[in-house]
Amino acid sequence: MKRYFSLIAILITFALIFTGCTDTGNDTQDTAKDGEITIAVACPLTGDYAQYGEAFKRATALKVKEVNENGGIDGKKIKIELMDDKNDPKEATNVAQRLVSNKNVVGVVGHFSSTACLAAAPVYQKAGLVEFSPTSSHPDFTKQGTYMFRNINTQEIEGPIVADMVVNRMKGKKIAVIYINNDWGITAKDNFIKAAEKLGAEIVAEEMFIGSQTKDFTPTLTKINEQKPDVIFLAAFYSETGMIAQQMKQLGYDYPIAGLSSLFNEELLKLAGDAVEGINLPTNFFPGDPNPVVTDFLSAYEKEYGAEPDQFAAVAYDTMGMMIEAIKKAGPDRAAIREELAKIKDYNGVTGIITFNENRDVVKTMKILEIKDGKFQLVD
Amino acid sequence: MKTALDNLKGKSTKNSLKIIIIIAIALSLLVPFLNLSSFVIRMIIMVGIYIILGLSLNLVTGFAGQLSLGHAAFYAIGAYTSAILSTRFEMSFFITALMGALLAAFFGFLLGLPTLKLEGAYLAIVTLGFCEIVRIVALNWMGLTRGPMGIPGIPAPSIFGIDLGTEVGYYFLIYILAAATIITIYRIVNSRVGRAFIAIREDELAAQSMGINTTMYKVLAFTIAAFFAGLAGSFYAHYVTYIDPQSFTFDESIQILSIVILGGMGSIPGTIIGALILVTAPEFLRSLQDYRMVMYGAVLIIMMLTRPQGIMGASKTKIKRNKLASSKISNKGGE
Repeated sequence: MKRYFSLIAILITFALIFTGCTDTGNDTQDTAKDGEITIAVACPLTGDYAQYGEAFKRATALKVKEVNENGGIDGKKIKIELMDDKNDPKEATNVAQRLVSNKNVVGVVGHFSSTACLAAAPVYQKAGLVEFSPTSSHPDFTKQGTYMFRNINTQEIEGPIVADMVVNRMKGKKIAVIYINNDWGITAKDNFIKAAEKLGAEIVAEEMFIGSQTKDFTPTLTKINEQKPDVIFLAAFYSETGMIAQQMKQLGYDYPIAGLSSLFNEELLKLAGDAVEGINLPTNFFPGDPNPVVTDFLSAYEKEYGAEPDQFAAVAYDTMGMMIEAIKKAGPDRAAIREELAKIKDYNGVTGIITFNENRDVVKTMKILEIKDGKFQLVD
Repeated sequence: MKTALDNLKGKSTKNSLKIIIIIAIALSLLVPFLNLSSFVIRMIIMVGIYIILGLSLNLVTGFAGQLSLGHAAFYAIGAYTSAILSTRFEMSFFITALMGALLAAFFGFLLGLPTLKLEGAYLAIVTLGFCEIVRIVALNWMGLTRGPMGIPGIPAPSIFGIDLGTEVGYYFLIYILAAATIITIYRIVNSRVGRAFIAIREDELAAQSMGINTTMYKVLAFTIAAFFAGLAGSFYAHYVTYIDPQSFTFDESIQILSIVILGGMGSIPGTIIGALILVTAPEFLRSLQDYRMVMYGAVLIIMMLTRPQGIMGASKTKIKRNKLASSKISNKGGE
């Protein structure tokens, strides 16, 4: 009898799984009405990266609300299909499969990390659905297919801008490089070095560290100190940058530091205090920017959520904006949306003037910031 | 007389079991033609991968009683071997899968060796360390693994020029792999080797004194388990077409161990059910949005509170039977 019971249990579970799966599939398809256009937002809403997903969720919702209040797309209201991918490559492919089989979804804003984007890309490409990632910086991402777009400057674009900042503005002839050992850090470092050497600078040291594992940078820093560089360039996130800056101060080294747009975070100031004074970095989005597009976005976001948007919110806002722009021209047709999106030129977004190059990577203008008096400040 | 009746009973349940299994196989062969959505097929394929992973770990943890926290390492070795061989040397899936599984088995053999001296928590720490080593090697050996850049564009499997990179192709491929795993593990467990594994789990010292070469069998368990985990990794690499070290973290080991424990240690159908539940639950709970992972955890806790031996935990009854048998023997000895 026990044996039968277990077998029945297996069969019931199977049955539940099948009916359950198909049911949820139908649910999402039935909820969209005729007069609506569905855009999916796929991002991590649970897990370690939920904070970034939250920024995506809020900013895209704000953009959609603004467009809907102004009549939507040809009188049709826009609806967001929000999907959690936990920033896990397996979940991301599941989400992608779900979205491509939902006929109402005309485009996808997401995913957050390059891992999730790359894992999901073949599914989107095969079905012909635009995957427009606000934040994936992996060089291979847009090479996965013609439906992959990104809204963040790759290091190929950012590298030369930062190299120019270091060599010409900060007068760096001998440069030491510290980088984080992940996809982003390695491409950032390589592109920076290539551009800096072209500008006539010399790279005197290249040191790697492992993200969220290396805590003690003193061996790295003493090694670099022997080379007496003019500038230390960091391809790192704010948490490690804070540690590096503080440990440099403790060791009594006083080298100017240059970083990437990844450093633009108020936490850096809280973490490291006056140790980070004088750091130079480029950015796409700066809340202190007097540009009316930016000030409008700031006040709208603050009114809606009672908090200041960060760069992730800003770039998600622009991504949704560009997606809507493309749908306005193409209508709710997946392939036509891809064509129109690729054609977008000089989109005036909160993260700069945005154009796609032939690889569907964006080329955006950047602003230079410096940390002065415990604040990020726009340089000239 | 009594024993004959018992035999008869056993035969009838065995027959009905056979019939049910045949029906289940027939039904599952029809699955790709039932016009199910691609999403459902994808979920079934993912379940298939985790059935292989769960069963292979079950051999080590459930049957041989050796707690391993590093199963994701073998999964990763299989996936990376397969990915590297197919992208750089353009080998076909069947060669890369075999190579991936064999290399994983080799590392399983190497990891099995220190288990001669270690047991329980100490062994768990060694396997945990091994899992981290593999991940960090994958992260830092740029020349081989491209480190954190991962390996994109892994080709879909094909056989005799037939492209298996379709839903039906992947379904039958994982179906065959999972079925082969189930049958092999079932055969192993119900053989002399399997008895030795169970003996080691129940009492290593007693097993040794009975003449079982515990060292050899423990290493064997690790090697076989690693082989199948490597096979699952190969399939995963060719299925998702992109792998990076982030896909094979410690969390992955825990996920596989959860499948084994939830399903029931030492139970093959249990592992299958465990894989089904743990792989599909996050998708079922999607409507709960922010709370879905909380619910997922809660379901696990409730399950373990109500059935600590797992859904199909067979080990307890087996122990009971064993105890009964041993008490009979000791009684006889007394007479």
